[in-house]
Amino acid sequence: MNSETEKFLMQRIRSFYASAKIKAVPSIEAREFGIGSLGKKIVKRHLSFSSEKELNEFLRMEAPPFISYSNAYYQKPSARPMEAKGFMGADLVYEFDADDIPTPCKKEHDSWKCQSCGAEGKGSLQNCPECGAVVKVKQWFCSECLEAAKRETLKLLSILEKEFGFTGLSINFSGNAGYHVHVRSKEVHALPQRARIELLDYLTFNGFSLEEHGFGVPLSMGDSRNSAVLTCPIPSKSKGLTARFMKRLVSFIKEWDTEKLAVYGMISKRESLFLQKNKEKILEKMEEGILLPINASRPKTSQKFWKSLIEKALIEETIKLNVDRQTSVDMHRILRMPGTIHGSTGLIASVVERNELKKFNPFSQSVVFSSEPVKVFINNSPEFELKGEKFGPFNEQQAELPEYAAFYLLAKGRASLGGNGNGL
Amino acid sequence: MIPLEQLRFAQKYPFTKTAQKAIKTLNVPLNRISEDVRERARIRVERALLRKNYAPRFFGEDPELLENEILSFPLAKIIVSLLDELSAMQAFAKSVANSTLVFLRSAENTVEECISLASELGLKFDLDEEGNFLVPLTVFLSIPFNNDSLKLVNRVVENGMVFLSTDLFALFLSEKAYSIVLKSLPVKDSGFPSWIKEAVRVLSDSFKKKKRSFFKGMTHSVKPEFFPPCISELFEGISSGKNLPHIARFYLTTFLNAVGMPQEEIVKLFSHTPNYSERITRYQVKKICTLKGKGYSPPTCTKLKASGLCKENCNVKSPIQFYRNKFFGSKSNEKKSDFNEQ
Repeated sequence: MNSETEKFLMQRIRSFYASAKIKAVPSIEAREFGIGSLGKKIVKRHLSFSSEKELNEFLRMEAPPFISYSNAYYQKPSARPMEAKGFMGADLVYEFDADDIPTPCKKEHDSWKCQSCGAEGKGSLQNCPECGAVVKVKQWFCSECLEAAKRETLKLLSILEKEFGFTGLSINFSGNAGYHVHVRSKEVHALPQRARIELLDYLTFNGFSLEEHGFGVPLSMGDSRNSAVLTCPIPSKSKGLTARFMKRLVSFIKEWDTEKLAVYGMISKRESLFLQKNKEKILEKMEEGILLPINASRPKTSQKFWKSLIEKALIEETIKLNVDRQTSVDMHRILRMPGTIHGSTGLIASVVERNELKKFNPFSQSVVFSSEPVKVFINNSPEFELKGEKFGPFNEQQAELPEYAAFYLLAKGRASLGGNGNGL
Repeated sequence: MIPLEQLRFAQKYPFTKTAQKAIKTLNVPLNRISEDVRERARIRVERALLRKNYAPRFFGEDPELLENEILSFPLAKIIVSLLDELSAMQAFAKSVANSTLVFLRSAENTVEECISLASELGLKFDLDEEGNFLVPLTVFLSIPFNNDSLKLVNRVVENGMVFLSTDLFALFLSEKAYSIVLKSLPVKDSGFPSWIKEAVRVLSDSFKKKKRSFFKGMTHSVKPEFFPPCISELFEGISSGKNLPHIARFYLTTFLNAVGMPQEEIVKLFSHTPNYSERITRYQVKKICTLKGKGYSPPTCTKLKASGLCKENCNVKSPIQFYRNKFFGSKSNEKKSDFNEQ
């Protein structure tokens, strides 16, 4: 990033904080804060503020491109080392990042380059297909990516509310690639790390056992001998996670056509046709706790079918929450302060009300900078949309963009001010 | 006179308030404890250290036998405390947990027995029409249980309540007993009489013989071929200059320190990383390796799984255990040494 670009970005951030009033997080006096510079999210930690006023004064003075706060509560949040802070408890935090969720759009807007052999291509991968070395991926987040992250967030919220019975949930856009869910009710503060791992295992089906949930022995033992009849928990009498899982399994039988059943159930078309004709009976039997054999003379096929469907239901329902495991169990983490700027996008880490999350669009609702035109030189950028307006794609060209779009590309390192990208 | 009912409850669940009250009422000072009680206490500890069950049921209606049994518990706790070994305290707590489970399950009416113990422990719970015990999620999670049947992912959770069958609720209570007993240890030394110390010496000798002190004064060089898959990957990664995340570097360092790699060698290992700064590495390695004299504890498998670093199920509880098994496996093969854990 050249100095002119840096100066511009810093000025814009300063002007934002000059007039903005950032709402404090609950118990601000017990939180540790950290700030970052352009290009580095955390350069300084162990800061603390006694009040909302003090925080806002600091933001006006310093205008940091990133500010994060601790999910933990401390007696002395600015004390060092960590042990001296006096840990009092911590919120539960779940973080969804679009880069963890494999969406088809990644092929369109992500690209990779191998540092070792020079090979390059579109999409997102870890190792170079030519030489096997770890590649460098250039990521981009589009509305499709963020919608995927939002869907997972909504799934999580439903479980947190209906199953865990948690209250005091707060949701915010991360300002870049995803969403954060904070559980702030008092009862979770004291949960030890072990307990946080238990919750995460529940959400991601880690350690899930079919027997414990009431599936019949031959199936869950992975044993293909004996009868073709398998047992299952009764859908209408199940509760919690079992109910959710059974509902999914029932929906496969109800909704899938012959072809889909054949593909996912790994059975022949003929068997699938039999299944199609006997749907009602199969559903009735499930309600009796029996997974009906789809081919009485071939128990193995029958078992394979149900196993495949159960595995598919697990994958769908495993509520592939894609929760960032580290964040969820870490009690001494600092993460984006809601309502503040994300220095790599210029978007705000907006707090989103629970009932507004479904229609929330970060690419319009989290834009804060003005529409004043700014001339920039763009190295490259896929097409993107901000405030309902489409921009790009760009490649090695000059363009005049509204301030918010210019900030977006400049902060992402895709464009620069003052001539072309080579700093001329 | 303590009612027989209470005496029996206190004998079965010696970690409860009822038991503490009984001990207070009996009011026997340490120096006047009978030979019988001493013997019961010694047996209690011995059984625990040998990982054998201790759930005697033959006291029936005899108040004196019951009283002796009740009195032997605090004495046993003193003995365990004087052994001054965390693993001994854990074994003792485990033994109490096991006997709790036996008593609950073998009670005439397990549901009622569970209700009275849970109420006595002040645990919040509810009962539904189907006979399930409903425990508030945060209460359920406050106990550090080790039992896979109690894993949350395999239990029904609705509206913030965990549903437990009577059998599982009994298991949950026994885990609670474990944590109560472990928390109450060690007992503060307020000048114990010499006969206790003698009992401790005898027990301690036999206990220590069983326990193999692994890393004490170890002079071997670290053997990467014995590393478990997770550590191997990190070790090879760092050696070949891969940029590992912070948590991976931290765990690797704690592991290498625990298996006896000198700090200098650990620092050198990191010199291949792309963002290497000798000053910072040296400072951090030193910090990690010298906390409270022996450094941060190396990670357990649970922790590695939590950070997504676990590579396969090796049937051990920690990478250290894996390394130790391999190390001693090879050593005993080479030299027919007498290290033969389990």
